[in-house]
Amino acid sequence: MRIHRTTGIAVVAAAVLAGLAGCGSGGSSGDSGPATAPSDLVAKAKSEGQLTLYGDADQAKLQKWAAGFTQKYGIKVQVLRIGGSELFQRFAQEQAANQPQSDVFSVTDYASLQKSVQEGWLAKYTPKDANLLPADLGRAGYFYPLQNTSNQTIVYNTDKLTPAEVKQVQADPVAAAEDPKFKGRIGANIPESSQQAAALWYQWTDGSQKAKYGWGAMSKIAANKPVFASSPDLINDVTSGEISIAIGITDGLAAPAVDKGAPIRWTYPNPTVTSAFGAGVVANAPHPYAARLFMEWGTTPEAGTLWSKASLTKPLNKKSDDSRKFLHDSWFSEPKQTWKTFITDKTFLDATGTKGDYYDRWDKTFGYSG
Amino acid sequence: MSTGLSSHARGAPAESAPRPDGRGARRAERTGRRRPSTLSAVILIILLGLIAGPIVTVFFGAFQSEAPGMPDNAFSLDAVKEVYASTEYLPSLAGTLAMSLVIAALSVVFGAIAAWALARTDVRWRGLLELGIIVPLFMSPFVGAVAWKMLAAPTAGMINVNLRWMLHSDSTYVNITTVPGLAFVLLLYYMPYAYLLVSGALKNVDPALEEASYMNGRGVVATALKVTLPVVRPSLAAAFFFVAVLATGVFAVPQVLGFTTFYPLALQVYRSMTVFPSDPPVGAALGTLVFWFTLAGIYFYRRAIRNGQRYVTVGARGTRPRLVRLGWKKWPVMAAFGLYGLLATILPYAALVLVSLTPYSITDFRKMSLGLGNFVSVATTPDVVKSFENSLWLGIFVPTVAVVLGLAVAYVVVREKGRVGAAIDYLSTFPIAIPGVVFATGIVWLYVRTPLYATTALLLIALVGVYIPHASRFATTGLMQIDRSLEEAGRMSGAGKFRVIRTVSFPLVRPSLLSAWILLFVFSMREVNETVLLAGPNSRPLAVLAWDDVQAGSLREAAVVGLVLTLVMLAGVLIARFALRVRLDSSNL
Repeated sequence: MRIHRTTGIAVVAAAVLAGLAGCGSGGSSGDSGPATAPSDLVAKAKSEGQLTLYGDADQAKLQKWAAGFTQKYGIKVQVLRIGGSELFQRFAQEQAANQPQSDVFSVTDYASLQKSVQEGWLAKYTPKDANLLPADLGRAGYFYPLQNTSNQTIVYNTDKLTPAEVKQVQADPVAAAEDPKFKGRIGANIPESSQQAAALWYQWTDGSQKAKYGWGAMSKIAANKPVFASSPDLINDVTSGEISIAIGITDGLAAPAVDKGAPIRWTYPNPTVTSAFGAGVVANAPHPYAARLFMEWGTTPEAGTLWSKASLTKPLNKKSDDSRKFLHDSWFSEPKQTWKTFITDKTFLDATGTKGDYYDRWDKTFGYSG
Repeated sequence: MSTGLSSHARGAPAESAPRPDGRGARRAERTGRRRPSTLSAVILIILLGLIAGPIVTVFFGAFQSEAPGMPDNAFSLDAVKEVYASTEYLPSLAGTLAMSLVIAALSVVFGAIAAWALARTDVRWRGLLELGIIVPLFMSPFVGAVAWKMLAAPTAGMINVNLRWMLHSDSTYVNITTVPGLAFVLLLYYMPYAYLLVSGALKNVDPALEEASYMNGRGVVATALKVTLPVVRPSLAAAFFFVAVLATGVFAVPQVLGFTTFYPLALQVYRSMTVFPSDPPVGAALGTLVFWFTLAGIYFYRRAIRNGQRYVTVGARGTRPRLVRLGWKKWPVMAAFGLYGLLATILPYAALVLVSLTPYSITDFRKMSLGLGNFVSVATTPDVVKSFENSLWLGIFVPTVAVVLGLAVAYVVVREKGRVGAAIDYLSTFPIAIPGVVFATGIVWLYVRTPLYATTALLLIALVGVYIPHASRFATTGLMQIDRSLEEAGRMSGAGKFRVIRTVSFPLVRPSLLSAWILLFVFSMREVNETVLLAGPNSRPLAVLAWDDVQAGSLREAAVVGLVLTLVMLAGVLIARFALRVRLDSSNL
């Protein structure tokens, strides 16, 4: 009897706990603040005193940038930086459970942002200076590209390549990666790591460059036994010389290392994949006015300039300054063509969606099983 | 104190004590059908919440189409089918099991040899050598992995780069990103567990048994193999299964090393939760798959522990074991200990210090420009102070709560027994069987709708649940060595159960509990497997900050935080050493 009683207690407790966890989503419906700046926004934001920014950009850069806001308004910014996919998973779960922890949500994955709008997780808000930012990289009334764009690159270590090899990589980095002389010297950012990385590979295999490269070129790159890692790990590997060439690194990630004197440079494939971080006010944000004030500040030329300095990326704000030193270096040249519309390209989205087989094909070609 | 095997030690049934509630209770005790006490009921409920809740939630999550609570979520068998009914994860499963068993076997072999050398030979500087074995516990294994990647990456690791120019060669001398490399790093950081378990058992062996063997003319090797080994065999088995289960749950080390030969299951769980496109139900289903294997490990671990306790002897004659005279051989033995200290402590910390002083990834000593820029950068980061506070808060409260609960669990298991006691005994061991990242997933899903979500209090709840097995094991060992007549005298004198625990049991097991406290202080300071998924923007401890830095590629900042974390742990252990007189050595642990 006793054992049955104990088991009974356990079963009841388990059922209660499972019920707790499984109960229907309590998604936050609608927002809890004004859609434009009220006249007393600064005062109300200051009375809240703090805000939490969720972002997937580099932690140090986010903190430097947010410090500008704190300096101006005295409002403390808590930054939580984790990888985009994990961050969205966390954000979605918190919103679905009506447990918002963040006030401003900023990620580079457009699909995550669109889903957030669709589910009512982002509040409707239009900052006054929104028109200074390109309209096609955000969604009017919801999220804006406060943190510039980043472009996919191929990064190489100048100490590990001969001058002839550097020229070869600069001329056509994809063709260079096929060359057997680079066997064991290449690193690759897997397409699963982000939507941008997936778009980069996709345009070579199935997209605009299919005729030039296609899966055949990928097989040749795979034969060179690339190291598969995340882009932050690849930057460390190519900087230290562990690998000589890294495929699929954003320029914003490589630039700080170059700025500190690391022996690396990058080249843009043609076309390259361009994406922007979209930032918006979180519905039911714990600090709704501080969040709105942050959006107001984030769209100013001053904030655009500060982000460009912190991240070494090209400012998107029409009135911001671009003071990046390497713009004048001989090795650097701007991307010739960019592919930005992958975020709405149905064929690409279907291939990389949950029902698509793109990742399976890529994994099979490269022998990747992670 | 008695000499030789006690009645408990022989595995004899506990003598029924005269109880205020009369003969019926005694009879019930003999038949194992006692009424559950209030204490045991309370403990059972707490454990159900702390341990069973998250585990049940993970199983529940495996049968969903999305993470529990997400929009459009529904019952689905897809994840379970993908994990259990396909061959997709078989290589991971096979690799994980093989890796765990190999690491466990090697840890036990080296740990047992080290324990025997320190307990049974006249090797010099015993205290220092033992410290060298225990110190690696102070380093998060993933921080150790970061250090070893900097040291021994095949192309640009410090060892390879600098040996190449020193020896005018282009060879690769070491490669940490291979299967042996992964095994090597795990071995460095899991061997101390095996050492502690085996060493504790060796110290409890009645030296008279070995003495008798020597008197009968058997030599050192024959005595060690024919007498000592059989007596400590259960502890060896316990250490083997304990390390195997721990190694099954590891994900941070292979992730840091960029290991690609196979992907351990725990790493697959982590990636299912975090890498685009994330699939939490598959992560949960993988977690349940790991659970069955670790549960088997736990079964054997518990069996071995139970057998080991049959051999526990607490002697009072002060008999010391005969120490084997090593002669000239003591120097190679000491060199072996020195080599371990070099590989597990000195080289990794040296690498961390160098990395923390460089502006970017430079491994060639000739090109290094050192500065304090990374320290300034970390010191001026607003999160660091808050993370430091969080770590300290967890470092104080997690071990305290875990030890109190561990004592209560041990009291119910050792003194009250019965079926509820048995249930509590099993339940309290379960957390060892759950990889941290899986347990954390269950906690997140369970608590995401409560005010505790993303708070430091939730981290405390999770870590207390995870560390209950450790705390209760220490308390159980301590309680088993106390003659229960002391407690019964207290009860007969009219004291209630809680007063007896507070005034009789607690003071007597205090040394064991303090040892547990200090070990759990170290563990909770360096913990990352659970906390990485649980910490919110305001509740991140230092170890999670270091992990986030590693994930973001900021290895230099991670090195700085790793060093700070070690200093905090060291300060805590020194305070315990001098203020509470608790030593972190195998006689206490």
